[in-house]
Amino acid sequence: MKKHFNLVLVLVLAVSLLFSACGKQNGSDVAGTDTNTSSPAPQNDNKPKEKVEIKLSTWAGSEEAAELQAILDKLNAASDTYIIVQDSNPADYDTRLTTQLSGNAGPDLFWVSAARGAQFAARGVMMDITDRMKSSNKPAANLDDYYEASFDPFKKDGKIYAIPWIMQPVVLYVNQDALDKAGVTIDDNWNWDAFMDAAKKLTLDKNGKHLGESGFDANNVVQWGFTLNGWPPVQMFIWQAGGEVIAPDFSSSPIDTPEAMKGFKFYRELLDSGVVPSQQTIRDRGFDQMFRDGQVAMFMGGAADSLDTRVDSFKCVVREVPAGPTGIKATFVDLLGMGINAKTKNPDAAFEALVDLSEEIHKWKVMPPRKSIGSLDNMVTLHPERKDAFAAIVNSLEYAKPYRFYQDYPDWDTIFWNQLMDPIVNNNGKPEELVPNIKPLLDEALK
Amino acid sequence: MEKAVALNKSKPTRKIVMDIIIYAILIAISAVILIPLFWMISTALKSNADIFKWPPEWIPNPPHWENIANAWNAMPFNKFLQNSLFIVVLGVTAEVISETIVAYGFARYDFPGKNIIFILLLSTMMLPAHVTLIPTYIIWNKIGLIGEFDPLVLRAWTAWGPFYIFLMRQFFMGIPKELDDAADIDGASLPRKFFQIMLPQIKPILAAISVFAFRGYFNEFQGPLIYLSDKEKYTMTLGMYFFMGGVNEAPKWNYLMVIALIIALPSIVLYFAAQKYFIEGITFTGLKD
Repeated sequence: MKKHFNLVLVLVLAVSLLFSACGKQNGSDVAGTDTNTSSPAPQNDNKPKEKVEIKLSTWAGSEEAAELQAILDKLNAASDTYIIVQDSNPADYDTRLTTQLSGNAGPDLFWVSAARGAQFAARGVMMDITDRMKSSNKPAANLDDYYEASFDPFKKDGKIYAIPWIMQPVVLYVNQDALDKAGVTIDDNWNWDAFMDAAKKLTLDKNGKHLGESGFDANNVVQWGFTLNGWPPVQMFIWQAGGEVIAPDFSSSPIDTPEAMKGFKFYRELLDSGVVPSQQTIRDRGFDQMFRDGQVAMFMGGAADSLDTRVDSFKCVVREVPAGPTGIKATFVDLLGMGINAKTKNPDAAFEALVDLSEEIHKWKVMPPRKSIGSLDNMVTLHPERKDAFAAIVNSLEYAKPYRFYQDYPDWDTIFWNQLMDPIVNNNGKPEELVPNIKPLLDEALK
Repeated sequence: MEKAVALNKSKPTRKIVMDIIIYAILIAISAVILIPLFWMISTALKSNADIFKWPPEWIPNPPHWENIANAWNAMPFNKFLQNSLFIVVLGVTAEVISETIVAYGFARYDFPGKNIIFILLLSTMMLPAHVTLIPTYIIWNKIGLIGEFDPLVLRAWTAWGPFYIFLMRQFFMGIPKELDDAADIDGASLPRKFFQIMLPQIKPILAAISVFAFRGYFNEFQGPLIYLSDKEKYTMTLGMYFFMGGVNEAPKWNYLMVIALIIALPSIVLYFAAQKYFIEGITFTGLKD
């Protein structure tokens, strides 16, 4: 009997080990490991060169991953050097990637956000591709073709660490039906005053009266002119007023300058004027959903949000965001890039894959960070379904700016949003009271 | 006499009032617990456009039953389910066996440093998972098992659940030592004593821990997220996230809810199936000294 029990125990252990080991693949997760998936190793130079497996991590969702795979299949078929293997999962991408990279493993290529890109560049996590970019003759390596701002987060001390693949400026999505009904037009004089005036005319009560009109019922609003909940970022408005939140030399946070204060105050004014729903209403009904449902008439979103093609209950058009009081045009641009693991064992193949894949993604996504592909005519040809949107999007790129990212930007960002913007948005403090207290903390975070 | 009659009459009335209050409180608490489940079912059967309707629509009209098949077929969920069950079966088996042995040792044997080791074991519960995330990943990477199921299964053989060990130790301590003594006098070997005498006594806690462990492995997200990088090896929880959308792709909340519901179902069914043992296990009933 004793033997029987011992045997059972040993068997269970063995089966568990065996089964889990059965799941092994030929490959490995360690970056850049040679996993020659085609033929056996060549014995002489006459045999075809083996392809190197390049692992690519992305946060693509189901449809995006399928579209990306089609691109990869095309590239893999055309290349003699690499086979890019996609590992896409939108689940907690940052935790996954940083754990893998910290553990000296991870993919060869990976998508990276602008904030994370600046961190990775500063900490040597990504490979320096400056010289390779200069010596490559492929179109995606031509630095002159990129919008200047597009490389900002992915550069450190003049060195390039990633290639941007999307440049998404914030634009204004407009319910054109509501504008026509209210008699509002967006012309060349589209600045803060005109915007506020339009937002008031577009804020309607259940009787159809607009904000500011005699008899307007503020307790029964059925359509608001605009919406804000911390998005769009206040930086946009500060830039439009001529201010900055981080000095170009990263020495201070000049949020107390008259220009910056103008931006903060206009932001607060939008929230207080009645053209924006209460934060509770936004939470209950959904931020962009209220625009899609026709409860908000103007919405600022990324160019890739494509609301102009996704909303079918009214005519949605894309316009540029308003200029500041002195006519300064500025908008926030979100940048995403793709970098190479600094510890990849196949830097040449990884770089070739990076450049080739960047080229294809630039043709796929709206908007590419390149002037040649991102020209108005070309974008209309590539994405005819959005032909009416591209004039505003392409114009916006001319003055679009990313945040001024740096290695410890998340620390600065946490103070800025939690201690300054959260109270402003939720009506727990006025900019003129909060800014003097928060500025020293932000300055300290830059040191 | 009249007073006594009045008291007798008031008793049932008071009882009815109390029952009404108790039931009302229980219904209110149940509603709080069940509303998310109901919302999950409701969302799973709506079109994406109906999900954010205001005011909210509780009963989908019409119900989109096709969401279930569409969500399941949108990604290789057959494979994801197979992978999840593979990890669950091996993980739960390993966990229950290893932890029962360790708990038995702590409950029945005296050895130098026993209490210190036990305190150390319990103190590992206080460590936030993120503290051990990277060191553990590095260890598995050094062993060369990243990208495999091994890190998700083999760890269970190390009796890595201090809470379960604690529960079982307490349960073992409630079993009279006379049973061990009687087995020893009858000449039973240690394995026989453990498997034939002790294990039948702790069925309730074994059932409870199996349910806990099943839920833990089936719903686990972080482990598969970190260690698995081949879609062929993804689990249900990882697969579900594909519906979160991306750049140029809106989230598919209805599909997300379909899969969330499917993930929740086995735990719900298992809980009801093992309810008797489960309740006994966690309330420490059974044979006592």
